[in-house]
Amino acid sequence: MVRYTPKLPEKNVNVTPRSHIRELFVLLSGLIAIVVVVYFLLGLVVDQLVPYVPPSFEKKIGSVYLRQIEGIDKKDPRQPVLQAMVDDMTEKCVDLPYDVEVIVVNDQLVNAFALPGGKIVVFDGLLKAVESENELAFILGHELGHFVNKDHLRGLGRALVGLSISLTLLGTDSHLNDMLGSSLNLNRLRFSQQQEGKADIVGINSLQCRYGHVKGATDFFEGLEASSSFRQLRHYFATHPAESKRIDDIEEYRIKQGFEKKALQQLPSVFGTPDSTSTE
Amino acid sequence: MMEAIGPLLNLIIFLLLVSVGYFAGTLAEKRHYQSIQKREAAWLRIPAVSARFDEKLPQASGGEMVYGSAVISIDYFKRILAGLRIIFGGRVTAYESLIDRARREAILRMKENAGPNTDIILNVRIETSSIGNSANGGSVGSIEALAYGTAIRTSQNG
Repeated sequence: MVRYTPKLPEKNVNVTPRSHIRELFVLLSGLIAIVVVVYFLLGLVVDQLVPYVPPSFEKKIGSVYLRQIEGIDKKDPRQPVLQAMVDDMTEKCVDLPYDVEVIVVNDQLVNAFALPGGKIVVFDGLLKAVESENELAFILGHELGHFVNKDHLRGLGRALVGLSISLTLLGTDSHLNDMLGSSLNLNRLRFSQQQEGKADIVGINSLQCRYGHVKGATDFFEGLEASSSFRQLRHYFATHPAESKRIDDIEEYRIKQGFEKKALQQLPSVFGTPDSTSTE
Repeated sequence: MMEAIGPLLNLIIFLLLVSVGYFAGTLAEKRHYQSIQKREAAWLRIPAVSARFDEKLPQASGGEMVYGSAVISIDYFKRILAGLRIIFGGRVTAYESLIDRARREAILRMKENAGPNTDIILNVRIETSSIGNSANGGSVGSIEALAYGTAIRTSQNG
């Protein structure tokens, strides 16, 4: 007969004595490391595949984004001027397998971007801020450079890779997916410093090709001090190390290539006079 | 800039939930274990054994089925930690303490259900099930442990 002697267990074998916080950090950093590696590798795959994306497919992607843009002004008198400049540049200076269309958007953003499928979106705010045709031509040439390098497709491809990873890991119902999904929004798509630099080179080359000199190339970043309404922004551009490096790189390239600086071309009258008496 | 606020807010809420889950969950667990240990010592006198007794128990004045069940919920922190375990595998240590607490609490409640006049609880079984699954994820909401057995009383104890 077994005699029952009641006693409490000395230690609890069913619960592992382990710091849960530490476990969380170990697992989380492992996961992040894997995600970063996969994202990087798939990014390289995207870079390899991008040259094979046909222009027709690119156009399809572009039209999806185009529908989301509000305030497109088809009757803007500056549009035909911009279009003529771009047509001229794509004909003589920049080699692209498709025609590029310029779209003017009535918005005070000082920005322009390249949509997949050969659309350059230019905001009214930018058109008001530029002071010479050369400066404008550089910005348009820069955007054409993004088309040449297919940067928008690379950016989209990477954003898609990021979203796919997060969907796989977290399922469809997750805050992180909303965050990554919004990175597919072209307004928020950021190109790398290297991509911007390459596009700048295309921009400066098309300036040289169109005007025979490259004065005005860096005006967008540095030369707009006269007008005060965009001072905050310009201050940002001028002091931001990445932007001042871009100016230096453009200048270095100019000297290396022996491009000259001559007189600036006035903007056509439809652009109005540059706003230099703002009180803001 | 404005578009970033929504996702950022979501992230802040998420981190808040995780830390609330951790601190509240840890506190609740600590207090529960204190209570369990105190009551286990108090009820130690009554054995609860899994053995079946086929022979007659001549001194027994009565036997009845007694049971106790406890439901313990996971917290947000444990959910995240277990979610990471789903990817890497290994022991889900975050859930171990939940099951342990539920089992011990269920046995204690079974003993409380039997009452202090009980001599022994025979044929004790413990069952575990997960209840309150969230509708979308199929993840564990909370776990229930049910302990049941036959309480035997002898005539001396009445």
